Amino acid sequence: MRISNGLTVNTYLRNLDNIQNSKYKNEIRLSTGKNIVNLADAPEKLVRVKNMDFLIAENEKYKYIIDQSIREMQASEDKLQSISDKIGEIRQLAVDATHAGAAGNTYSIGVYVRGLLEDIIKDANADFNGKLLFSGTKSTVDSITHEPPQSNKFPFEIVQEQSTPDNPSGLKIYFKGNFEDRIINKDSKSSEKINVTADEMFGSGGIEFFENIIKVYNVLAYNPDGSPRQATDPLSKFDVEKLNDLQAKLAVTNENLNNLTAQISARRNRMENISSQMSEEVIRYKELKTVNEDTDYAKVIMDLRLEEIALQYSLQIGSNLLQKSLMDFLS
Amino acid sequence: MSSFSALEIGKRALLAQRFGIEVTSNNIANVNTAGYSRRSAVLGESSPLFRNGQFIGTGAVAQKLRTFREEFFDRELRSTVARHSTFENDEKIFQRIEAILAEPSELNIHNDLNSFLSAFEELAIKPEDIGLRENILSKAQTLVEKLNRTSEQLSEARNELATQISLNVNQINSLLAEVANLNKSIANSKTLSQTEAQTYVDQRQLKLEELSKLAGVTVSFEQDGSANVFLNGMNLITGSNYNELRRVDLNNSASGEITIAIEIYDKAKDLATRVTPQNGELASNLKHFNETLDPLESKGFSIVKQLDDFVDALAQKINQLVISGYGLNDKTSPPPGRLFFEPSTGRITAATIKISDDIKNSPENLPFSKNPGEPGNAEIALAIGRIAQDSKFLQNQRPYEFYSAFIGKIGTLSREATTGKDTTRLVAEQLSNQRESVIGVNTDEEAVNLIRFQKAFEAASRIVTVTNDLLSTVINLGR
Repeated sequence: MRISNGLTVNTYLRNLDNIQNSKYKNEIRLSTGKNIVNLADAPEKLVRVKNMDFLIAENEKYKYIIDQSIREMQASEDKLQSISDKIGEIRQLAVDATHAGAAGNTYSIGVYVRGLLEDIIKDANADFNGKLLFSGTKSTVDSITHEPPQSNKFPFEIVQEQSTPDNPSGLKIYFKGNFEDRIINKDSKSSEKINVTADEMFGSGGIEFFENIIKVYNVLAYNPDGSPRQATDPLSKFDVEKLNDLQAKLAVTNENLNNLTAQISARRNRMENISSQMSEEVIRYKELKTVNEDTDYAKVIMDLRLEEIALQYSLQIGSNLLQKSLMDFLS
Repeated sequence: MSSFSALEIGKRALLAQRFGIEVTSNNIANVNTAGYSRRSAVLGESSPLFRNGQFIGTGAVAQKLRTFREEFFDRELRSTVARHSTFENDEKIFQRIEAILAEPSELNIHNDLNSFLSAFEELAIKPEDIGLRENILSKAQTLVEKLNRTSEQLSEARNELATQISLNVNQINSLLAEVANLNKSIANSKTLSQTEAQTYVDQRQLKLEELSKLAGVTVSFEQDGSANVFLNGMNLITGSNYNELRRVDLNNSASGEITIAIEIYDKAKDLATRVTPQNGELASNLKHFNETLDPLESKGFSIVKQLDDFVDALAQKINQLVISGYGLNDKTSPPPGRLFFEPSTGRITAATIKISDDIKNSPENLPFSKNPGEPGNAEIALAIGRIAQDSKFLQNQRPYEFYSAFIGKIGTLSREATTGKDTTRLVAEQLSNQRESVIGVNTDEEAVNLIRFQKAFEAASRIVTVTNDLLSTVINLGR
């Protein structure tokens, strides 16, 4: 093949250009840590990377949602436990009141029961991070509407009404929330309920259980004729039977609350497991992503070194090649 | 044969060798001239004289100027250069689109969309929280701004292509005029020196290559050496006559689609014929203006249309869900009928999408509850979050699948362009090298020729000197 000057120069320039382009790309790979510099480099890998990105983002999102929900469920669990303890106390008081030794203290026990009732109402009105825990989807005080004789915007309220023969104290509990479930998406396909509704906790209308406590209070604080119980007024046989009956009903409620607590606990454990699983999945997805996307530093550094050597020698030899000609030797 | 004959032979030799030196010098002078094809002086023996029953040589003359240009290489190179130019321009445009879409990077639409949809599901933890609602609006605003900006930049890129097409047409018309003019000079080469004619041929080849780069023309040659140039089989140049190209803007009144077509305009007949260049920068620019970046393209792959389809599907699905929802302060039926995205009628595109005024500055109005007066109800927000996994979102794909496939398609087209560019560049370089090895100047070779002609010139001078001495001797014989 005949070699012309243009051929030598053009080939030399092209090779220089190739080396410099390749070197530039590897320098970008080193500085960004990414192997795919342009879409054209590896579109099929890029699609895989995008899908991995989505899956990672999805898992991180659901993990965050689950972790947040777990905290709320933990708060519900704590309140349920607290209510359950108070029910246990009420039951114990109801039993104690029937003992002969407590004859003079029946009214005081009744007052104590009322105090516990108020404490339970406080627990039932509890919120987590500004969100009412047991009020269904009416989860803010602003969303609670009240009508007389109700006087506040909390979901549970003790109202003092007219006394009746059945309810000499006139105490009544109102529930102003709803029984709707609050749902979160716990992964791409399934949802999970994160709240406990008032009817699940306290029976029909969300107040059945409170009526039993009021009945306990009524038995302890009032005589069967509706008059306030004095220290000298002992519990009748009928009162004792009634208390035993109510105490048994409270035991059922307590059992129900314990079951609910166990259910929430189980749900929370399940969600914690899912959350851990998601953490592992994120790690796996990131590993897969890095295989497709990230720079293989060892390889790129080696390539770059080779290109630098090639460029250096190319420049050195090129300058000699292009300078010498027969013209230089003509005298 | 007289002594004067020897003097004549010496003179012819001097002229012939000087011609050789001139040709060699011209080659050396044009060693870096683009498109130059080397020439060589062809010397021949002059007609002999018949004397005393024998033919006696009369010296040497410069018979002709030989050129080395070969049409095979020129033709192949023009065709390859046209394809290379198409791919190169395609690659340039796709790289620009990549930059506009911020791909591949973390700052792309895909991530903003994920972040936006995720915010809805995160809201379900505490739907009554104004901060989380603000977060949704903030993510929505980021997404909307990204979509608006992307659309605007794609539109700017399309407008630049329109300008580029006009520029291409002007460049082509200018080249057509130059080639036609050179054709005229070549056809008239009988009145020109051989060197001058070859110079025009070289210059025309350069212009034809430039034309091929722009429009992928084909060329045929006439007996008189003039080149006829065709585009799409339609005649652009015949001898010294040429037709101009014209850009025509087409507006489809039914769809509102604006496209650009190219016509060959025959001034003499006042006749315009539409052509579709297949290769070259113009073909590439037209393809991307009329297809890749056309928002109303209905047949081919349009990036803008795909993006608009995506935006429309997303906005309509969210609007369909929120229209029946209630905000934090909506305590009675019926639902207020708020939308998330506007415009409220017609197609929502990346260019037109915006957050509805009803909710933009009022996070409490975001209608995420299925029932009135239930701030803790996030059914609608959860349903919106589920859009991310909706397998029927668009073209039976989930949003991320659609977007990944969309980016993958751009990547594939971009890679096709890059691969095509690299392949055609290799072929063009090989052809160019082969041609260069034939027509290129080698200064070493020319230096040898220079010495050869110099020595021959010196020898011829000696002939003249010796003959002169001989004649002097003869003239002085009688003294």
